[in-house]
Amino acid sequence: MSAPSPTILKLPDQSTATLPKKNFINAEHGLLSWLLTGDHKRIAILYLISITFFFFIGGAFAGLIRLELLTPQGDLVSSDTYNKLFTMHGIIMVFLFLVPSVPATLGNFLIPMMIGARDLAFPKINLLSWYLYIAAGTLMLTAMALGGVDTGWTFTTPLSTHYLNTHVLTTAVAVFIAGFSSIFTGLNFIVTIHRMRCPGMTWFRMPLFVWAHYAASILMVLGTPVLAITLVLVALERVFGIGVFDPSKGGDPLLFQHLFWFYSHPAVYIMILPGMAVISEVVSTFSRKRVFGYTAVAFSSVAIALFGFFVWEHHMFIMGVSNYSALVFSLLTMLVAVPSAIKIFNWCFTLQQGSITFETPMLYAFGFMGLFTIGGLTGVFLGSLGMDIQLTETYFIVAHFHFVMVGGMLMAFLSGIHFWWPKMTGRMYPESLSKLAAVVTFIGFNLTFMPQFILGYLGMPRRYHAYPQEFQVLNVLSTAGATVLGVGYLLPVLYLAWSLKYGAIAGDNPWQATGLEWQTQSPPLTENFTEIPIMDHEAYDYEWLEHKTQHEVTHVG
Amino acid sequence: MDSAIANTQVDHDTAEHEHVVLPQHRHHFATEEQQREAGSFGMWLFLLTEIMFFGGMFFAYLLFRNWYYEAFVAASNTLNIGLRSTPARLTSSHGLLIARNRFSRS
Repeated sequence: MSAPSPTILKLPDQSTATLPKKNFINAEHGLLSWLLTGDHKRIAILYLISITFFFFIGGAFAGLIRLELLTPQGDLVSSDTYNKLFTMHGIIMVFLFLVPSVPATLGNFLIPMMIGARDLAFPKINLLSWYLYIAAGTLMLTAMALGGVDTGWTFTTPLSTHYLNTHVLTTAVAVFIAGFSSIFTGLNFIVTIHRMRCPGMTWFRMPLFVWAHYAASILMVLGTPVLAITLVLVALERVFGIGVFDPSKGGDPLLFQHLFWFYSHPAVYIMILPGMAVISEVVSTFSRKRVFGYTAVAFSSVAIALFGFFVWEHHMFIMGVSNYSALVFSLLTMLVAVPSAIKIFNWCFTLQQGSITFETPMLYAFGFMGLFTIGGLTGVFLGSLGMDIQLTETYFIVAHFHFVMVGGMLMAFLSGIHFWWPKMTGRMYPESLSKLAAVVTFIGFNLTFMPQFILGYLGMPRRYHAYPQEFQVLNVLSTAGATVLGVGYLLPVLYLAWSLKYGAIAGDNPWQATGLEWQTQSPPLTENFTEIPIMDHEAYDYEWLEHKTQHEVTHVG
Repeated sequence: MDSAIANTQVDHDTAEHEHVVLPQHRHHFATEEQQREAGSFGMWLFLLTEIMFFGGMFFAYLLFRNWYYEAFVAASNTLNIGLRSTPARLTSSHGLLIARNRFSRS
């Protein structure tokens, strides 16, 4: 509209941009310079390569699951193999992709740059966390090669302790190690954000990306150790039969679920908060406006982290918990919807009267906002006690968390990768091809998971490899969608790899974004800044940026 | 290869940070005070994760102690290890702390 906006988007002319002679990629050479690096940006790249690898392994399992469900009979794989397929899909996607996806790649790369620091507080611990991740991944692949595991990603007792002869121990150790990898990442972020901010960078001048990562780091640091000890107890029970979870020895199998979900519910916020972090940056940049209600969005991240610790029992409503506690947990679950809604509404108000442009990151961000809203609201369905009895353990649950995790987090991850790709590599991705990928992903996603809501509502249970004839049409739709989705994920890998060599040179600040990370060269120097910056303006101050660029032009011209 | 890394490292340090004097000062901290604060803050945070880690176990212990109180009482009467090892551990960690404080003061 014709609103008086002082900052109509005018992207800089990139034809004259050149790659900087010295940057973190060419500062040192050889494989060892990568494997022994302390540079947060190089570690981020290492993480990016490894999580992409595991994403496609997890994705292959998802493909096999959907292929099996194409027909009502269990004809592609046996039911035991099917159990292993969905278990390995879940474990790899949750622990090796979703939890580290945005924090360990984009967060690692950007948090020091955004707060004006030269590196994270503990570079060696940062590298250690990558090695732990790789060790966990290797163990997981070993367990898979030796015959797999079929507990479901939840390791539910007594199934995992008494009834299975698959590689539960190896996998549990792998998840244990992966947990410490994410603890170290979280610890590093918290210390860095507290102690390493540049002069002038007060808490309320930090980009919202940093705020959301701070909240997610708190969850990592407080939640993950509980998962670790729970897995230790499962292992002790399996090996020595100590009986903590064994009713015949006076133990309580439900105790396992309390401990497990005490981590694993906050874990979904570990996964989604960094996604929200990306969306705040992208929405602000491509509507050329400060994020509406900055303080509210910042505190809503913290509120999600806080509430996230008090909702775990909603995973166990049908498992014999007391009615009164179920009532309380149902209410608390619905409370989480409040800060989530604050974020969504504030992003919408950021768009209002902004100068919106539709670059690829923005398309993914729009995808996030729609799909996450559907995923979040169906979560409220599941949080209400009556609905939960009908819907739990059906495909409705599967659709719900895939809307949040894949439709939300994965869209945000791709949005962020495209948004900061010029900063990370110094080159642009091909714009029209990537827009196509964003649209294909969105269509494929909806085709895959929308039918699953209906399937779940009609009563198709999750985790079965055969189903009644009447569900076939919807399952075929879902499998077709998964194929489209697969193409949508393969495309970015191809063109992003292509752009490393042939992409247009990006220049320092191709999006005219305000973050400190954009005020340096791309790709950045090893220590990010030639001199430590001084933050003398608020976050997302586009007038400051315009003033600065005008100033630059008069100097150069 | 290793020497190449070492060389570039030295180059960085001498080229960009002549002001750094103390050998234990890491390149990415602005001041030594910042480094010390970050270190101790990180350590406290790690201890917090340990509390959460063993908290799960203590929680399970608490629950079972509550459920089977008599059994715990009966079992504790057969234990005598705590009497000897607990004071030994407390004194040894106290000694370590004294040593550490003396060391950092000198």
